[in-house]
Amino acid sequence: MKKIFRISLSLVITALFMHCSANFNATNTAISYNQLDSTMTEESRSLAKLIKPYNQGLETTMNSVINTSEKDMLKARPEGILSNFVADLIFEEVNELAEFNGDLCLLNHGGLRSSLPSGNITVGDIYQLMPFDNEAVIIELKGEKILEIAQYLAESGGEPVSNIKLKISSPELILVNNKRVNTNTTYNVITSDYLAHGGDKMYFFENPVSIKKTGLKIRDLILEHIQEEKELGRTLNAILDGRLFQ
Amino acid sequence: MAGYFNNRRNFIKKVSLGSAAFSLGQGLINSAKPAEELIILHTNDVHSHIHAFKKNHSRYAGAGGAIKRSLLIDSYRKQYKNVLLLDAGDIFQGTPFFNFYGGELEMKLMTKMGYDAATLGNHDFDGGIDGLLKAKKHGKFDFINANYIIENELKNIVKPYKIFKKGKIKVGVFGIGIELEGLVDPKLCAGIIYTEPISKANKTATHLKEKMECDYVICLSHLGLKYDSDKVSDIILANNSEHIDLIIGGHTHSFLDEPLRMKNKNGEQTLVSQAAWAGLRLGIVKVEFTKELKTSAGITTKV
Repeated sequence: MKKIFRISLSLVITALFMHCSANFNATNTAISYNQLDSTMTEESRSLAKLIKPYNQGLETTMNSVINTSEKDMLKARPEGILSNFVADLIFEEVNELAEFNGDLCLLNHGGLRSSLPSGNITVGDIYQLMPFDNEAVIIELKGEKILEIAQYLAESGGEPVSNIKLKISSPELILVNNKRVNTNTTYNVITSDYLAHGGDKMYFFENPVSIKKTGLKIRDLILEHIQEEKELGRTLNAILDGRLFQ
Repeated sequence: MAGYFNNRRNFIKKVSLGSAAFSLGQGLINSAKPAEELIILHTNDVHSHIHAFKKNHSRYAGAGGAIKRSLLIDSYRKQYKNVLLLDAGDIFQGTPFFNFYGGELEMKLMTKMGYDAATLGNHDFDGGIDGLLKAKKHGKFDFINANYIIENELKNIVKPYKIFKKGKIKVGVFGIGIELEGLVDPKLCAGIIYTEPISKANKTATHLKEKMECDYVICLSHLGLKYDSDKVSDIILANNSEHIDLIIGGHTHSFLDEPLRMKNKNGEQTLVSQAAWAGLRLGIVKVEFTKELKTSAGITTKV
């Protein structure tokens, strides 16, 4: 009798223990993705109220139209209309504003953060394209480092460049200023301070012959260039020209 | 990113708002009512996208936006009791809201939406350590990261993991960050030392599951989904992990048709998810739990 009691007590204890140590097991998991597309309603008074004061400060500036583009501009590899547009204008503007003769411009594909639409281009579009506060810098490199740049371009498949011609499959034949690279001379590369500091693993910028800060923000240069074009009566109409090809 | 248009129609079919949201959950293993269920909502790489994309945007016209996201989150909170809201990093940088206000509004909105935790993405350092600290004053949720050694003031606001009790479920969430060298200007992330993520992840997940007795362990990762090289990614982490049930990723802005069901190093399932970028999508994970009774043989021997 006593034994039966003890057994039943132990069962109770066991049951209690089992209850206490119950873990939960994930037995089924379903994952889906809700699209936040344009058909969804967008009304929330409390959020709108929170956003409003921030928005007011920005809206007028950001919505101002600075020019129009003839077509959608997208970045692409080996070359893209947007990639060419930005690299060419940075090359041109830095040379002009810094009163300098740079040899080439190299930016990064990943640094162009948005496409530009055809039609009106606003200040806000340029902030989306280039949100970073990066500065243009001029880096003087030995000729052999230019060959490293060519190798990098071949491996990455292409970056925004200006004043370069390169066949991706034979990077050693890179042309700068339409000429083969001379390893006995130095070249001035216009780029961003982000890349100059090793961003995107552009390590060829380490230990340069010289480095010059321009104090010019990349985004400001883009804005200025687009506005200048407008003042000159020109819309934006960048093209592909085969500067980088397979 | 090219997959967006290709897969878009399928998605709308599969996951049109609300009713059909869990069509992927067909074929439940257990027909019995689960003991508990948990909804995990996730975003990544929102990149300061407060507003929806403009109507003339070439790819995402009218899509995204904080208000839509907030309404969607609210609808899940109404429908389910246990909701966890997480972000896998790169909250900042991408619109003038960040350039002008340094991330303050992003933090306020995430607080309002009720985010439980976020991990640090590389762009979250774009305002420097001071900028991040300043913005974070407006965010009432925690940043989590387990593989950065932090030797600056940021250590006061970043924890390796957080444990949430949701209904009867104990959920452990920890963060894993990407190598910052080559991605972030060194002067902006001074005092942050990246360490190898896989061993840190496994150590943290084991601690959460075994020591802290979490029922479910989530890794919030900013490593990126996968690479052509052997660079560590969510896929590589999943394959070499243990005790991680779900990896919620970011960085690569990946549009997935469905989560990747990977096998971890013990042959168990580890799920990998990611929800595009810019707030174009909200990831919805529905986990059903059943009670598992631990049959401990040691007890009866005492009789």
